Formats: sequence, structure tokens, C-alpha cells
Amino acid sequence: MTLIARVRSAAAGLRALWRSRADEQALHDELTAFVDAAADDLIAKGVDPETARRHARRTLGNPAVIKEDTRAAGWDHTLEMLWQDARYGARAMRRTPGFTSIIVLTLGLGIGGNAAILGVVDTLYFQALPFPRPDRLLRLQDSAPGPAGDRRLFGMHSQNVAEAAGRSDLFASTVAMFEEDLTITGGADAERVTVISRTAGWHDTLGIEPAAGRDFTTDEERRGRASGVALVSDALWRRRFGGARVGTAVLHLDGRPFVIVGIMPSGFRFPYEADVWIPHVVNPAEHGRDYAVFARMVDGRTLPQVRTAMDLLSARLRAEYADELPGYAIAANMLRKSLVGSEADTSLALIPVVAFLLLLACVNVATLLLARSVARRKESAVRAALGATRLRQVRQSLAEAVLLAGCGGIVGVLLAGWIAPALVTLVPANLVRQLGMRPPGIGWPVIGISAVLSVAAGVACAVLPLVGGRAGSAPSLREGGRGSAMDSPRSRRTLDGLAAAQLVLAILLLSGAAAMVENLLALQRRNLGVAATGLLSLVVTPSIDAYPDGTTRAVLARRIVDRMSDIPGVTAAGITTVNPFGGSSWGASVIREGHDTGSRDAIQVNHRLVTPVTFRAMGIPLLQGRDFTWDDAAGGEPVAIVSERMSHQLWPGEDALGRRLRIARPGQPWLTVVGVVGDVADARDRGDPDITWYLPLLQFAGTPAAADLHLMLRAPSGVMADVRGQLAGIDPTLAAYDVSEMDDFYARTLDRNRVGAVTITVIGAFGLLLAALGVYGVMSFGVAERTGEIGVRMALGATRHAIMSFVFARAARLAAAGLVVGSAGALIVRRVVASFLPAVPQSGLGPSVLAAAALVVVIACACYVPARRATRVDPLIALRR
Amino acid sequence: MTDKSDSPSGLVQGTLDMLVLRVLALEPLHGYGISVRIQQVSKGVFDVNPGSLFPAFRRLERAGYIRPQWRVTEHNRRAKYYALTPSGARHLERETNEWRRQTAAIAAILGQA
Repeated sequence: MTLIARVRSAAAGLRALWRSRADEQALHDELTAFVDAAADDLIAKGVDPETARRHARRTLGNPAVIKEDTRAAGWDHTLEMLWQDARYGARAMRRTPGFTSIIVLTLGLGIGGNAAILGVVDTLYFQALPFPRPDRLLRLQDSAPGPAGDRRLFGMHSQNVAEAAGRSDLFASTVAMFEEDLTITGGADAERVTVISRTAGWHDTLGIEPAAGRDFTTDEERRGRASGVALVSDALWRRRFGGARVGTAVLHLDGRPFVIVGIMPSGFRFPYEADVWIPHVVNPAEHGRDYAVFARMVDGRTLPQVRTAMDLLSARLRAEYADELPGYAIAANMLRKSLVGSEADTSLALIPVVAFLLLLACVNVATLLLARSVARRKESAVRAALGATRLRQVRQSLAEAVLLAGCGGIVGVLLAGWIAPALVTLVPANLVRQLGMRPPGIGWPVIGISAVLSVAAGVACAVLPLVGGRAGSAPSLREGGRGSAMDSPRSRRTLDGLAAAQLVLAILLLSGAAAMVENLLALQRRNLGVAATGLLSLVVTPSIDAYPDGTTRAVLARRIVDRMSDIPGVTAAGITTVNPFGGSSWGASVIREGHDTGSRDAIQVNHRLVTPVTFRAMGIPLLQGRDFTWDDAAGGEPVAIVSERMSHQLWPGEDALGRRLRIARPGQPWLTVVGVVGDVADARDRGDPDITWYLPLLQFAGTPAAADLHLMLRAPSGVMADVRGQLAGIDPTLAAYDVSEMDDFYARTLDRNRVGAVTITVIGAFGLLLAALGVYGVMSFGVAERTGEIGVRMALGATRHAIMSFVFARAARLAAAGLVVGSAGALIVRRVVASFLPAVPQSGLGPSVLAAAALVVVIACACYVPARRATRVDPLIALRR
Repeated sequence: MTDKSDSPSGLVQGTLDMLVLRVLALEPLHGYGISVRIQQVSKGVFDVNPGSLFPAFRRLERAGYIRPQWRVTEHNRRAKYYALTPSGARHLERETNEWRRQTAAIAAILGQA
């Protein structure tokens, strides 16, 4: 058939669908005309009319069959048959509402679970980033070897920003930004906002324009902050400037006026949940400032090419700054990967879990459908006798299953919409909160996925029972009303196999759940090295203008600690520059005395500045030596305290006290180790704690690392009012932010793990329930169809006990098969899950034993009722049937 | 109906459509007329089964090769006549050429053996 003929045929089919009744009549008339014409022909030849008509009818054959064949010649016929199948299926569904709702709910949960998780994955990986051609965007970062041989990523040093920006052969444009928290002054109440200083490449690189007003001019971008202009987020504009006019409204940041020239699109707060953007020019000579750098690749360039070029550049920089940058390199990653980062691990771990759930649901439904199809054998025998082909019968069961799964899909979408808000924790905050991307929920992706899964699940449910061969391919009417409905051992084997498969899947789900719960518990129990309970943390960032140098800052720090210590209820107060449970971190390259010959001897350590008493306030044990005192100030002997790990790593088997260290930059003074403290783990990093050195805040108060002061108070949370009062008493512009109890703070870092663990536990429990129902269904069906056999056994003197064990023996075989295969699978699942979740040991019998125990209990429960029923069989009644 | 197969006795699968089109190339005919004409022209070799004729009509009509039309027969009855459309004529020509090519090839092979 040519294309045109095909189109014509399609159109004719469509028309036929509309006027099918007229079509039927026409076909009927046509056949009548054929008979008439044939009869007329014969009459003309002299045959008598009666015989002629009879003969003509015989020539035509069976008109019903001809009509059927003729209808079948068009594709519309297939559609009609499908519709008929669907209507028939719908009637069957209505007849058995209980059966139907169990199946619909089962499939709904399976599909809904998948749709919800895949909705998260959609946001993570497939929803377009709001930048033009985001697949060309890279993030550039400095990287250095971590203590465990891994690589750590940092913001880019200003020198390297200039180097990278100069590579026009690789990058069409680059933009560098840094973030600071400034206070809005001059309004009703002071408010801390996140201010992004951005360089001139913003427009070409990220391409996000203000929704109202204008972007910075070239001149403004060249003059940087001094130009006195700013862009604000939509939210900030509404909150503080509603009613003002863009272009004239003035924003005061730490007392400095900025004219608001534009408002960014609603929901856009990239990067760092920005409220304000101001122009900035990078000074390559400045030290201690890290930039977030984004680059747009030149068309035709690929990530591997960029990486090779960056490696060459890094090698040159390493040679130039030999002693400062041991193992230093520039890392280039796709923007999306950098945004999603490692935060996708939980959702990725959940994908196989929900896939297993759906598979389990399908197997379960397949079991139910097979059992029913066996029960409906008589019906199918009648249909076969009336001329339904085997294909037609398979199609019928397919249509029924897809219809059921379609209803399940609708339930699934609703369910996914209901679950989704709980899963929003699985999506990195930056995608939703900074880029205004759609959080997971009911959307076209979810609906589309559900539709595809529904059809797939329906087909799977209809086909799975066929795998083992359907109960006899030629059902017969002879069985009549008596005899066992399922005398074919093949279909019994299929049922058993499906039940065992459910057990296997349930074990897999449970072992996955056990691993995730174990992971969560391990993380919660984890010794972080800090006594988090009863520890209050808050941050203060003194403005550079009011406290420009080390001296003023040191005085301020001491005053803050003194005032805090005076507050009733506060038992210890200190200041550190890094919250070990999250936020920014600072690192330093350190060399020790006696190993200071080359750059290879430099060691990367966590760099933290603390005041005296901070260790006591945070509950970090002092293992050796002494704490800092207020005398360890500028002008005093330069001293350091090291973590236990650092002491072991740098001076294995020796005493660290009295040893000397310095920052691996020429001209830095030697610092004497005066104490060793316990290790503190990084709450976000699941590996071993880093090695850390602590320096006296008072000696380094003027360095960039001391910009944010993290107050650590051993105190009940009720003291916050006093804390704020005392801070205001020192300086009214000092605003406390990020106030948190440290145990809450840590609990929040586990949110994703908790959501994951709860989700998978619910799924595992549901899987176990499904498996229980499956075993129960198979067992009760088995008992029902062998009522006659049981009757014979009882009549021949079998005891109740013997009957019970007869039923349980079959269950035991099922369970044994399920257990053996399931346990083997569980070991693999554990390995896979553990690779996502480092806190879980890869081996471990606990979860498998637990899963097996749960399984035994489930099987026992599932068998009890059918077994009891078997013992109550009355031999007389059973045999008479 | 004794013959369940789609093709009439001895008729190669797919050739029925061609025969119908060929018969209609001469003049529009109704169903019975077509069956009689095929029988006559083939000198009784092909006895076309109406059970395969009507599905063939439906197929050809859907493809746009023939066009139905209700007319009055010579016996003054109403009957559905089929007429060849231009695209049906082209299709017939293509099919005929193809058929000739194939039968010539087969004849050559059989002749050799």
C-alpha cells in the first residue's frame, strides 16, 4: 500500500467508526443483493424460484461469517474489538468490586511510588535549568587533595579566576561571584541579606535578565561596587520596597547606599539564595577571597578538552607557586552535576527500591489474575466453544489487565502528588529555592511516567501468568460443574512460582529497608566529637567598616565572649570561625618543622580559629597540653592546638606538644603546638574526620577566615533573648543569625537520610504485606481446589494434624525457595545500597536474619487460616461435590 | 462454509484483489456480477468464494482503489456497484506489471528444469 492509500484507509476507518450502524446496514443490503442477483440469474436460466433462492443462499455461504470477515478487513475493527474488550473488562471489574479495588490499590501504590521518586529524579536530572543552553555551562573550582586521598573542591582563588577568564579559546565567557551577608540599614528594622558580587560576564554566561528595570551597564560593571547600583530579588523587593519605583529606590547595605536598577525574575535567587546582586571587579592580587566561577564553553569544545586544558594550566600554576599549592588543580564540572552534587544519592538509592515494589505489585496482581482465570475456566471454555480464538482470549485478558492498571495509574498519580511534598527534601535546595525550578509534584512528567508504567504493568500482569503456560491451552466444557478447577500441575507450579517470587522481592525490599535504617541509625549514633545537646550556636558577622582590622576585631571577640559568659544559664561560651556541622569551611596548607624542604611536604588541614573556652563550650575533649588563654593574643607567642588525628598523622608515636608548624607560605611564623584535642567529624561528610588545627582567634582576628564569628554557648535555648540583648548592648548593628541548637542542626543534616529511610521502610512493610496476601491467596486457593482430595484423605483416616502439615508442607517448600533465592539477592542489594550509603557496612547478617524472621512469621500467618479451613473440611460434603 | 481459507481454490494469495480490479477496469459491477465475471473470464478455473470477495471489496474500498455506488440492476433491484478509481487503475497497472515480471521469471525457471 502506498502512503496515500494508507492515509485514505485510515480516514475511511475513522469515518466508519462514526457511521458504523449505517455501514452494517449497507453490508447487509449488499449481501442480500448478491443472493437476489444470483437467484435472478438462475431463474432466468429456468430454475424454479424456490430452488433458485435456496441455491443462491448456499452459494453465498454463512452471511454472519462473511460480515465478520469483512468488518475485520478494516483497522477500525481492531479498535472496536478493543473497546468491546474494555467494556467487558469494566463489567467484570464492577462485578467483583473487592477483587478490583485490591488490584487497583496494589498497582496504584506500585505506580505511585515510582512516579513520586521519578518525579524527584526528573527535577534532579531532566527538568531544564533556567539558563539558556545550560548544557554548555560549567562550574570551575579549585581542588586540592583531601587527607584521605580524595579531592576537595573549593571556591576559586582570584588569581585563577583571571587565568581562566583569559582562556577565550575554551570559554565564550565566564562569571565570578562571591557571597557576603550584609545588613540592610536605614529602614524599619535591620535585616541580614545575602549579597552577591558578580563580574561582568553574568549576561553572556548565565543570561538571566532582570524581570523589571535593567541590568548593569558596561560602565557600571567596569566600576564595580563603587558604581552604587544593585539588583534585588523579587521577594526582597516585595518585602521591603513595595510601592517604590525601580531606578529611584535606594537600598542601604551596611550603611552604603545602592540604587536599585532592576528586579530579578520571581523565584530566582542564584547563587547562595541571593537577595541582592551588585557589580564587582576581581582584583587578581587580593588574597583570601574565594569565587564561585561559572563558564560557558565555546561551541565545539567538550568537557574533556576543557579538563585537559585546565590540567595544563594547573601544572603551570603549581610550578609558579610551588610552595603554596601542593597537589593543586582546577576542576571543571558540568553546572548541573555541580548543582545536584552528591545530594542525589538517596533518590538514586530509592529507584531500584520502587522498581522492586512495582515488580512485586505486578507479580501479586498476576497471581490474583491467574487464580481468577483458573476459576473462570468454564467461562473461557464457553467463549472458546462460541468461536473465540486463543488470541482473542489473550487479548481479552490483556485488555482487562491494562484497564485495571490504568485505574491503578490514576490512583498512583494521586498518590504521587500526595507523597511528593514529603520528598522535596530529596531535591537539593538550590534547584528549587535558588533557580525557581518546579519541585516534585503532579506534573506532566509524573502523569506521563504513570501512564507508561500503567500500560507496562498491565501487560506484565497479563503476561506473567502465561510464562508458565496457562492452565491447559484447550479448556473444555466437559468438566462441567464438578472436579477440581485446576488439575493442571503446570498452572499450580506457575502459581507457586509467582508466590515464591513475591517472597523473594519482599526479602529484597526488606533488606534494602534494613540497610537504609541501619545507615540512619549509624549516622544518628555517630560520635561527632562535639557534645551537641545543650549547645547553642549563632553567627555574628561584624561589618568590615566598623571593625576594619585585627585589633578592633580581637577586642570585639573578647567583649562578646565576656558578655555571653555573664548571661545566667550560660556555663561556657566561646567563638569559633567554622560550624563543624555545616556551612563554609576553611582549609590551610601546613608544613611541620624538619619537613619543610619542598612543597610535597605541605599537608592540607582544616583551619579553625577559636577563643579560649570554646573547646569546653563545645564539649571537645582536651587530650593533652592546655587550652588557649586570653594571653595568646597578638604579640604573644604564636601557638596552635591540633586534633588527635593530626597529631598521629604528623608525629606518629611521638608527642606532639612543643612541635612547631607553620602555614606553607614563605614568611609565615612558626607556631608551637600547645595542646591536642579530640577529633570533630564533618557532619555532611560521611568519611573519617579531617585533620584539623586550631589557632587563637585573637592572633588571627584580621584574616578573612575570621569574617564570620560562630558563637558556641553551653546553655539552654531560653537564653536567646538575653543573648540578643547583650549583643545589641555591645553594638546595635550586630545581628545574631542562624540561631540553632546543635543537635537540631545535626538532625537537619540527616533529613534526606530520614526521608529515605522512612520511605523505604514503608515500602518494605507494604511489600511484606503484599507478599503475605500473595501467599495467603495461593494457599487458600490451593486448599479450595483440593477440597475433594482433602476429603478423601480425611475419609481414609488422616488426622487434623496430618491435614495441617499437608497444607504447611506446600507453604514450607514455597518459603524455602523464596528464602534461598531472596537471601542471595539480599546480599547483592545490600552491597548496592551500601555503595550509596557509606555509613553502612557492606556485609552484615543482621538485616538478612531480620528479613528472614519477618518472612517466616508472614508465611505462618498466611497459612494459618487456609490450613484451619482445610481441617474443617467435612469429608462427606467434600466427596459428594 | 467448507473452505475456511481466505483464498479461493487455487488462487495465489493476494491475487484476488488484482482480479477484482481487472474485472472492474472494464465496467462498474456489483458483487455477484464480479464473481460471475471472474468465473467466466477464467473459464471456470477460479470459483470465487463470496466469503473472501466481500472482505476484498472492503479492503480495496478503504485503500481508495474502488468506489461504491448504489444502482439499479438489469433485474430492477438495488445493488452496490463498484467502479475503479484513477488510483485503482494505477495500482492495477503496477500490480499487473509486477505479476508479469514474476510469472515470466517463474516460467523461465520452470522451462529450464
